[in-house]
Amino acid sequence: MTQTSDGNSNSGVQRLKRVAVIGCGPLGTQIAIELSSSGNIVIVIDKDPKSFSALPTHLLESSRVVTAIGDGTQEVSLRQAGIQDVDLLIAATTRASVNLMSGQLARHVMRIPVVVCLVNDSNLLSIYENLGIKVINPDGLLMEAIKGELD
Amino acid sequence: MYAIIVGSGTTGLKVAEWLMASGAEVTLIEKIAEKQRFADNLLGSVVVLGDGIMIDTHNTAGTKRADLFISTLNSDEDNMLACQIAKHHFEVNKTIAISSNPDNANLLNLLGIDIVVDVTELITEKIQSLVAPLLVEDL
Repeated sequence: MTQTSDGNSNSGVQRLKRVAVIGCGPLGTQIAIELSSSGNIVIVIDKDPKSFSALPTHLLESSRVVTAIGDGTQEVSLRQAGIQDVDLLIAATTRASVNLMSGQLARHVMRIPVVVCLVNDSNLLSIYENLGIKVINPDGLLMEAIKGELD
Repeated sequence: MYAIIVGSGTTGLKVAEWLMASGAEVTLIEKIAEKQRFADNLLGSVVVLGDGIMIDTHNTAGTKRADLFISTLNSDEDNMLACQIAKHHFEVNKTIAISSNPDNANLLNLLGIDIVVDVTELITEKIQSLVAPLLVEDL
């Protein structure tokens, strides 16, 4: 998909959403690309500056995707990255415990309205739903999709 | 008193030994097989092989009937998760987490962990108390 002007992919008049993504691994990178391509501003935070290399240059140059080096579990890093006014935070590092700490910090200390954590353990979903955090199980979704193919 | 301890590092082992000597029933959780065998031999068949941040492990260890839960892993995030599982899923009365980053201590308290032991602060205080008299002598 090439760059499109604002609003084409969203129906109606919608404010640009600001989204924070914690962790710029393969999954975080993909989320940043998808969400910025559909007209949102995405701030990606990762400890390792090398992790940003897979982000497409045109998204960085047009400031659709903004990168920040920092630790997503630390309030100082999140504030430095300017995420205090985002509409949504997605914690997508490879470690569940890091995602859940980052997510709870964002939700309960920084009052980000919607927080999604990627956690590959479906047993944990209900605990964190009760604590105000949305949990997505990527491995579980993958298994569902594979099972769907077999049906 | 039934206590669960996560992590068989030096802290985990020392706390387990002390609790057992004090008459508590103790189960230790260790995810590395070699360390699990070592601790199990040392303490006498009370060490479960498993990951303290997985609910399945806690089903095996019997976290549901624990009165006390102590997470002594090196990662603050893992200690947070282990204690939150104990607190929110198994409703353990008292949860204790070790924290090596003072910036995390407040957050862990806020997230419902009963006691956060801030290791960096403990060590800093100890060093200060030892060094302070030397500074006075210097003046």
